[in-house]
Amino acid sequence: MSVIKPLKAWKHLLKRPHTIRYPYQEHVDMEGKRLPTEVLRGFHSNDLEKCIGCKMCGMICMNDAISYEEIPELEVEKGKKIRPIIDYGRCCYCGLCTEVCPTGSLKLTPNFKLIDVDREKFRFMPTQLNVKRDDYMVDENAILFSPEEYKEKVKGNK
Amino acid sequence: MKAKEIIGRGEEVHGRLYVKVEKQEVRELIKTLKENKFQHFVMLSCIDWIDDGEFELVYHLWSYEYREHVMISTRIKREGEEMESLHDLFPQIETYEREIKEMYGVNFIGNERLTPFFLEGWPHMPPMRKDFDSKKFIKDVFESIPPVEDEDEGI
Amino acid sequence: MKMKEYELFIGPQHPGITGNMMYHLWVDGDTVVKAECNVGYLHRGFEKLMESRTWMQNIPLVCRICVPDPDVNEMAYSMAVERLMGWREEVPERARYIRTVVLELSRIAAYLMGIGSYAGALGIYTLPQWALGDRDYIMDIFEQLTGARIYHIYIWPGGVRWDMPADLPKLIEKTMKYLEKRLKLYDDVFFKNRIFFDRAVDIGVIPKEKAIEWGVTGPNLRASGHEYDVRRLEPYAAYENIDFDVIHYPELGKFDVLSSGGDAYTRMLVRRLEIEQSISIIRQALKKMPSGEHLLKHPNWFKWEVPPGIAYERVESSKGEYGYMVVSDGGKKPVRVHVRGPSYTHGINVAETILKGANIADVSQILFSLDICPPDIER
Repeated sequence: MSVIKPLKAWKHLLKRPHTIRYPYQEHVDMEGKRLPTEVLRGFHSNDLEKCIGCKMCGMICMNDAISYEEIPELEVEKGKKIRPIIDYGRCCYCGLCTEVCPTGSLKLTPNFKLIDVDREKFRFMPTQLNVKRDDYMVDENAILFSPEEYKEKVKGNK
Repeated sequence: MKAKEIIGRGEEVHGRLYVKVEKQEVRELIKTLKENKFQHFVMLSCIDWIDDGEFELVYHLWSYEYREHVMISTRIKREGEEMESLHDLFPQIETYEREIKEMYGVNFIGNERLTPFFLEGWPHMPPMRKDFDSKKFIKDVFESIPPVEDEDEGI
Repeated sequence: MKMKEYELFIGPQHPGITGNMMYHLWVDGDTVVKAECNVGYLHRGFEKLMESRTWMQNIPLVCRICVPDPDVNEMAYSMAVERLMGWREEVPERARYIRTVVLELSRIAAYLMGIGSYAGALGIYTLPQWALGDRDYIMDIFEQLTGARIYHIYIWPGGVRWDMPADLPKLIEKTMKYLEKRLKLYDDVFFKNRIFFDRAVDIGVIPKEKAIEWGVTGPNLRASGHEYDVRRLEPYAAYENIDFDVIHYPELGKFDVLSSGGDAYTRMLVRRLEIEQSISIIRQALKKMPSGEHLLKHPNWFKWEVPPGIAYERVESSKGEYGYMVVSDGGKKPVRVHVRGPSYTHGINVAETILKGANIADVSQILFSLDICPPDIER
């Protein structure tokens, strides 16, 4: 039992804050590896050439997040011309749709950043484009201040 | 299995003793098991066998000494049949009975606390019954609510 | 004039309550005369939903039943399905060890959250900040192992979803070393703090002879003096090959035994000691982990039929005994899944009984020391 020992907490006054200044500071794990890694289940990517439109992903999806739209100009060797559209207001990122995909065209990417004021933007057709984890899909109107302005603000707080 | 020696009946289902009894025998059986070191009442479940027109009540008991799990199962009719409350044997049975009354509509005679538990002001059919159609319920109840007209108002 | 008995409502928005639930207290002066638990703010109808989904579609659902400790749900559900499928002995050895590591990591995360919120209930606000900050390092491990931070959807019937990456044990070891260092600081700031002794000893006592009858399980039962742990009594995953002591009253290691057991003080110390024990289990499991397969071959998910039967499986969660009863009629969907949440007894009957006679100021710490989690009461 001690009354003095709890004062040890005071030494944290001299330490840097535990929190990270997202998104201008990188999120790293204990070994310095940048997060999220490639394993993270974020938005989908879909190889439209490889996809055969078999609707398996929509069948396993328990949230009814997947609907289909026909792309008439697509040239397909086999299967249908329909491709999945995912509603990220419903998606729970469980990834069962990628597990049942027979061609392996539907994948989950570590990209999960989408900022928009219009909720219709959260329903889109995944393609090969949004696969890189540094891709920010940001609606310009939704940003309150630019990254430069934000950096200035952060500097001022130091 | 030790439990089988104590009560002298039941069959082994997936490593657990499963005993099918009439509803009048349940109290005596649980009392005997409780006196013979089956002191942990795990839970009371209800299963709706709609094709048979019956509810199955399963009393789960566990013995820390023998490391055995016993399920005592009894069937009652879906409509018009009641069950005796056993909350004097284990205090937590009261809560399980309260939930089953609300979710399945089974009445337990002798339990004075069968008050609303999760659902308040629920005029519809008990929702865990198999003939309660959730999708139809959502359509009937929530799609009749008028949509929000002006988003800027309020707050 | 003598003041009459009055009613007091704590929750569901009160910060001193364990989540979205409410306690209705009848108070005389500042002594609680009667308490009634009121839940219903969090009912999401999981059990009903599970009846309309296929066996695999339920996996992303079950983990949502307990937020601080989600993996026990996947584990118990998978074990029940395995038992019905007759896969109990066939689960690959490597998968069992990976499951052990995941479950113990999740247990540490849940304990950190529990200890943090308990300290918050006593008014020591340093520890909640630290505990939640350190919990995030465990979330980082989960993110690299399972692909998600909170709801992992990683333990599947027949094994685990994918294999553990080869470089992950190094990160886990580093995190465990860090946690051990931090625990020393936690001791100085909280567990050896005068405030903790003065406030928690002999508060909210669960008597040893009543504990089992009331349905108390887990750390709360061990704090009352019973040496019972599901990991020991009915070993699952790889616990039978792992050497660990069941921490219980009065064996509290380096901490002083100040009470006669079953009080808030002992309950929190049991949790504190089990964090260290979990670290040791993780180390052993990583050391003993064999190589090989990680998942049994599943039938086609759309046509998967589980043989008819009834199975009950229990696991030791950070809150107590977590059980799943799964009933199948041989179809593609379960007939009934019933979840036995540990808080079902702790939060309702036990809390209502032991709150009688407590001070208003102690209500919140009693509830946090029981580690009540309303999601598993309502499901």
